[in-house]
Amino acid sequence: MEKLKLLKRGAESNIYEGYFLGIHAIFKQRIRKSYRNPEIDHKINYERTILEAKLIYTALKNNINVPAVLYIDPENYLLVLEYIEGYVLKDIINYLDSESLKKLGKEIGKIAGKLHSIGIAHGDLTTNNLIENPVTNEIFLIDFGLAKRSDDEEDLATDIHVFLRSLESVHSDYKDIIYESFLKGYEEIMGSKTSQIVNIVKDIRMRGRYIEERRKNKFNN
Amino acid sequence: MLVLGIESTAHTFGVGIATDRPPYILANEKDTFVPKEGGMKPGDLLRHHAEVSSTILKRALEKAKLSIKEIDYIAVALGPGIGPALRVGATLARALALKFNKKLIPINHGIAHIEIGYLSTQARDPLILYLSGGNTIITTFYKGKFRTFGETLDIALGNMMDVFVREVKLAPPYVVNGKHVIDICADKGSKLLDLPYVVKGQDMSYSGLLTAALRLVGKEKLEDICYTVREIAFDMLLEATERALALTSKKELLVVGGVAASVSLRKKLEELGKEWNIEIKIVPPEFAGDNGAMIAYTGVLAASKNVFIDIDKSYVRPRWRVDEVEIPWRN
Repeated sequence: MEKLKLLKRGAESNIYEGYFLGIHAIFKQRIRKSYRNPEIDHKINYERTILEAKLIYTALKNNINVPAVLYIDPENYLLVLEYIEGYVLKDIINYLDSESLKKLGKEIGKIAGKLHSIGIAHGDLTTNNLIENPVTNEIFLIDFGLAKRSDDEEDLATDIHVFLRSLESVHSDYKDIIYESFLKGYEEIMGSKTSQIVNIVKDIRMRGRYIEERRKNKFNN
Repeated sequence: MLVLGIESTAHTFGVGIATDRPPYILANEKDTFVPKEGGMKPGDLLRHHAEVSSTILKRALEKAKLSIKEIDYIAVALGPGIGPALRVGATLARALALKFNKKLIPINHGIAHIEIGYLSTQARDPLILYLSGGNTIITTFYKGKFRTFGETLDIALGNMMDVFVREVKLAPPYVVNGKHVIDICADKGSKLLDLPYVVKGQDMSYSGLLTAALRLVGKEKLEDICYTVREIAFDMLLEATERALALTSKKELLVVGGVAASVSLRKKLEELGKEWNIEIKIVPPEFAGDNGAMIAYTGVLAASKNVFIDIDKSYVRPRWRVDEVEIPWRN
């Protein structure tokens, strides 16, 4: 292992860039949290390290653009992944024209659809976790730290809810155009299930506290 | 400018008086309903608020050494909250506005918690945690509104703890010497039990934790259940908070609302602050729980931008979300 360079301090791990057996790689080191109960902390970090590796590998086998898993050391909460070259979408979305936004939205929708079609919910589908390769324009999905195996439409809908939330909070001016094309891409993969899942997304948003529409809907149903 | 603010969204009836220059808050009088058993029944709240309202109003004016005629505007929390409780404050506000010919200012209770937090901690551009019996919201101001980054998908953190201690007969009272009874119980526990930890992105879900914890009652030591519930509940909140910090790169964390007073939460927040090198700003106890001063102060801000409401349109709004409110006085 050569010298590692700290790339990013994430919410739950430090991300280092380096080389693993000569391959340009990302070292994802989960962090012990001093605020967290030590037992909860160990359980969360250990289990999430193993689960993340398994889910990324499953996605990769199913031709989804995710980094390859190179090495895993669960006792030390370490995961070594292929380095994905490109830009984080959160940083570039606010500079794109509407044509590019449409294409981008559709592409993200397809990735989400593919992932859901093999029974994986990402758990943190935000623009912070999507990378565009500037040469091929391919979109890669990273950070499976909160992902889980699930066919439950509730979990799949939660992914879409979280994605929509990230658009609303960071890219509110482009939310509608991206989300509309996202749903098109998603539907290409998920087909007739889409409308059902979108309904659950609406339902989840209604469950937030103090939503005025909620009352109305209840009585209309 | 002098604004009288009325708070009656839940168990507290409060009247505050605020002005547009230091010291800003001239009076903050309140009375909180404590049930003899069980939780808050809307009818009991109505009776309590109606009984104490005139005394609290008088006390606030005396404290500020003002007569009602000197007040410029009446601010009132129209929501979110419990309908019958809200109506007591709204009725008093409308009556004062009509009788003394004052304009009425509609205030969102959650926005008031946030604004008094800014004022009392001198926060500039924080990520905000709004934690109370009815709310668990991670938010920040952006382009005219407070945007929600995360929230509970079902019951609030404070509500979950209140219901738990009530069901296991530790409450009421819910707070003893400024400490929530779940904290008092949890401090005697040490064994971490297997209970669900649910963070979805930046959102949290507490209803499953409550149900699972209640199922363990009688099978495990109560102190250990309290301990586990508290640790998991706060750790979930801090993880979601940390994610919002990563996404927003804010350098301050402002904590407002009644749950902000929790000592054990404060300890965890301080650790989080050290790890992220951010300032933790917690609203002082006098403004943490529901109070009239925060309504009056937010009224001052709103009136400076001519936010008023006609009396015949001043309906209570039990489900008025924080992120629906336009904030013309920021930016």
